[in-house]
Amino acid sequence: MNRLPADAAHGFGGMALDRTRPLRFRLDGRSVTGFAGDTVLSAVLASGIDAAGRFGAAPLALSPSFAPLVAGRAGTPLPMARLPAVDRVDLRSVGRRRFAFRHGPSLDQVIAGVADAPWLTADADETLATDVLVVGGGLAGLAAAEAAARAGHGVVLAERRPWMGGDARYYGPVGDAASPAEVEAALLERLAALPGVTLWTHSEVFALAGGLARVHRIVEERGRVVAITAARVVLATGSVERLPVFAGNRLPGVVGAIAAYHLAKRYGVRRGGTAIVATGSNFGYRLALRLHDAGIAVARIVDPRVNPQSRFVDFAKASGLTLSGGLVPARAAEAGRALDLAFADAGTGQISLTLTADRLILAGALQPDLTLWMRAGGGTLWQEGQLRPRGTLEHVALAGAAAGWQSLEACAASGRAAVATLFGRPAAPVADSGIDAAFETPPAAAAIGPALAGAPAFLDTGASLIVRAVPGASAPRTPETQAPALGDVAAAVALGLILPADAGAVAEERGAPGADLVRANWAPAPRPASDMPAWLAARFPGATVRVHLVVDGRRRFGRGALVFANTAPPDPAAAIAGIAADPPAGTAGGIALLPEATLRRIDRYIVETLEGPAPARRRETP
Amino acid sequence: MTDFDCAVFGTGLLPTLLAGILASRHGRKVVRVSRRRSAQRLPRGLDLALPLSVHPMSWRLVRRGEAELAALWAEIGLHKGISEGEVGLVADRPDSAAALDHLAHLALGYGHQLRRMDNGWALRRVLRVDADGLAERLAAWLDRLGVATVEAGPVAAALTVLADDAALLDGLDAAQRPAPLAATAMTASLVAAPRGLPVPVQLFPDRGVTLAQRGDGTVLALVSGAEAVAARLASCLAGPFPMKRLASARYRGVITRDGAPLVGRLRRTKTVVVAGLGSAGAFLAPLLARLVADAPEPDEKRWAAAHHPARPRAPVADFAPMPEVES
Repeated sequence: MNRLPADAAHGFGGMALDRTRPLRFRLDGRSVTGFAGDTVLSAVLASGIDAAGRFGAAPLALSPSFAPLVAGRAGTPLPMARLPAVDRVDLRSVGRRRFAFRHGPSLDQVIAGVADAPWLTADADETLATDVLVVGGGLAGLAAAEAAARAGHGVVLAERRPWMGGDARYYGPVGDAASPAEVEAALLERLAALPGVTLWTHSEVFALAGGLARVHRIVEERGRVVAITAARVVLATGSVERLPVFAGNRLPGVVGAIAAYHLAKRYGVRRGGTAIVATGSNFGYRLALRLHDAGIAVARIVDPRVNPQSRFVDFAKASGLTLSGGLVPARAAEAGRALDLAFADAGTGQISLTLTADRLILAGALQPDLTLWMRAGGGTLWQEGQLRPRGTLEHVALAGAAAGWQSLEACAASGRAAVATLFGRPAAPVADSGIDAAFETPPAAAAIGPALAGAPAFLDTGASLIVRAVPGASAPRTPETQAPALGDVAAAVALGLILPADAGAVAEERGAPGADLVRANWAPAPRPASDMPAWLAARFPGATVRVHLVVDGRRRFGRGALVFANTAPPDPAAAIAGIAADPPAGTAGGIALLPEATLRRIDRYIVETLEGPAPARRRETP
Repeated sequence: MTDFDCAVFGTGLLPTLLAGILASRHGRKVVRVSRRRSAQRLPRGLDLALPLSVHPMSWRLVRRGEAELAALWAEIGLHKGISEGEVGLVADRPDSAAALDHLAHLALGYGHQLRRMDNGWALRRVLRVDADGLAERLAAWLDRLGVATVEAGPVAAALTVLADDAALLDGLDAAQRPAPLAATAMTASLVAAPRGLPVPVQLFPDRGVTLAQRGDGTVLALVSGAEAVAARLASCLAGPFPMKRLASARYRGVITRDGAPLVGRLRRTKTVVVAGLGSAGAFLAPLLARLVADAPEPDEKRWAAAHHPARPRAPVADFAPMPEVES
């Protein structure tokens, strides 16, 4: 079992688990064990299955941001990261699987893109209306919900993950401020006492347009789509961790720091006994220290910054952890169940350090999660190394990390301010409290390793599966295409593939493409044919006399065919008319509009048809 | 005192070629005012050697431009990004069907092969240029020619050419725009169309939709107008539905209300406008360069005079299937 002890330091034994209630279920015919409180994903990872399958020749890690949907015998497919693990159920993963005689640490999916989740186009199972919909249950979302409820508004708060509080515990407090756990507990306690508040976990808002939101919920192991009409919407969707770009950055064993934190903290999940932390921020040091205290051997902390300053850096040194500055991850490769890791000089790109560990934890740069904001019609722009919100949306407000706030206090205050603003009330000013750069080195830009051959270098952690182009290597085709995520766009800017000035537009174009097209029999409003459309009058000035041209009793001239005087060269510019209409029923040839002046001097014509030139004459009306 | 003989405003193939030809063929000192554009942005148009015109002179000039650009491609060393393929033209209304019939016979007269399709025509071997794919090579060509490139004006030049829709919209406010010009809402979409298109490019003038098959199996759709965009687009596709949209962008375009080109210097200004050329504009770059350099052939001079902003429009009226324009 890949579990930390129940009494691991810093509560890394799995705060969501009830270890007195073990459970067992089947997935793709194999037995998976866990505890009450696990999600299907955490139980699967704890059981040693850490690959979703293969993407081309390379294994692809199973993670909270990339896992196949799973379904019971009769149920609809559901996401592993949101589906609670239940005893004695029989699940199968959705997608094409490679046949395997023996189950290894992989779900054996053959990954060639990711199909859309079925709930995206499903009819709503339920509809409801609320005064305020808060999307995201981090501290900003909880504070917004409290502020709205205190003002007498009905509130629905939808949180995608199985817990409230967001990622605040990962970041920890600034200085002597209250801990995120304390702030979160206090908010939840106050919300529980307020009327008109509905808090949902396991509930992902996947569409938002004009006050109508669609939410996919998991309730008692079943999926439900709820359509919510909200008078006001607060988007407190937090931020996502960007994936450093290097070969092998999504191999099993490579994991984002926030994902690693929650897997350990909530579910006690680890992978092996050794880890290397690659971080460009001080939060990575904090996580490394906690993992070290919990019994994981942190073999090295690698940082692109040279000699970074932070209290956590000092603590790490004091704890005996080895630090290497000025390096970025360059390549990860499988070495049995471990990883061979190469790190390159951040300036020259030359590999200068190689190590082996069970796990590589990546604390990347952050990107406000503006996915839903863009789907609702919001704009983005590139600013200070991130995509930031641009413009405003009627009755929609951003709060917390999604709005660019960082500290716990600012995030909570921004949630309250968002509600005040939405209802036209004065909002208290919001300010980020941080530690001065003299004491804490600012985070590094997103890490970009040298372009090396090897396992694919993905631009982001999710389902878009966009791979860095490397000379001599080709990525598998992905027939099921998902839109690039914000992380993909941000990485493409860092790689020089997208101009910073275009990043916002690319994110909007790709991230909010509009609803799927449905069959339509649209046709322009009918309009009767004109006797003389403007183009025809301009093309053949004065051509007003309808003349029936014939060559014999059988041959018909197609409409549009050019008519020449029989002495003219076959230059379209020399045409004196065109066949404008079919001949009367029962006759051959065609009707041309000719200038009256030509009738007196021309009585023989050439009609250029698709089949070639044909001599023609005017048909005398009997 | 001006720094340049000519400032060409606009992004894309036509302004790029115009700037380069003015410098290389006519010895002009040129500055191109063009914001760089990432290849990941959705294209705002197609470059096709197909004038949507019923006038033979338009066809003759585009054919002439094709030949001149072929020599230019060879000179620059461009091979990739230039291809030939079928273009389908589909009409819904009787007048449009008649215009397309005439247009098809004109195309025949200028050497195109064609075949009938349902409600329209397919023209074979129409030249198509992938402007985004050539952008880097063309930028290097301009550098070699000494054409200056700046991202934004103002620049001091004896003459200013507004050579794409964005430049026209930015450079002329509504009051300054010649009456035939109209702004229209545009939507570019990238669609996952598993069945592909029956021909690589399809134009539905009565629906305001242009479709172009891309190498990765997706379809680029350009839809003019703001009304019923999704329905009009879906009506041009064969399914299966629902069909996923992969990207979408809204922007503004410029058209001429009568469908005819509008080319020439605005009265009492040093500004030349280039509009109404549709997808074929890039192929008229050599002609436009001669006009700007005051060295046109006699037939080009007559064509330009007829399409000058100060001239009456009825004599040049062209195929214009009642576009939806901004009020």
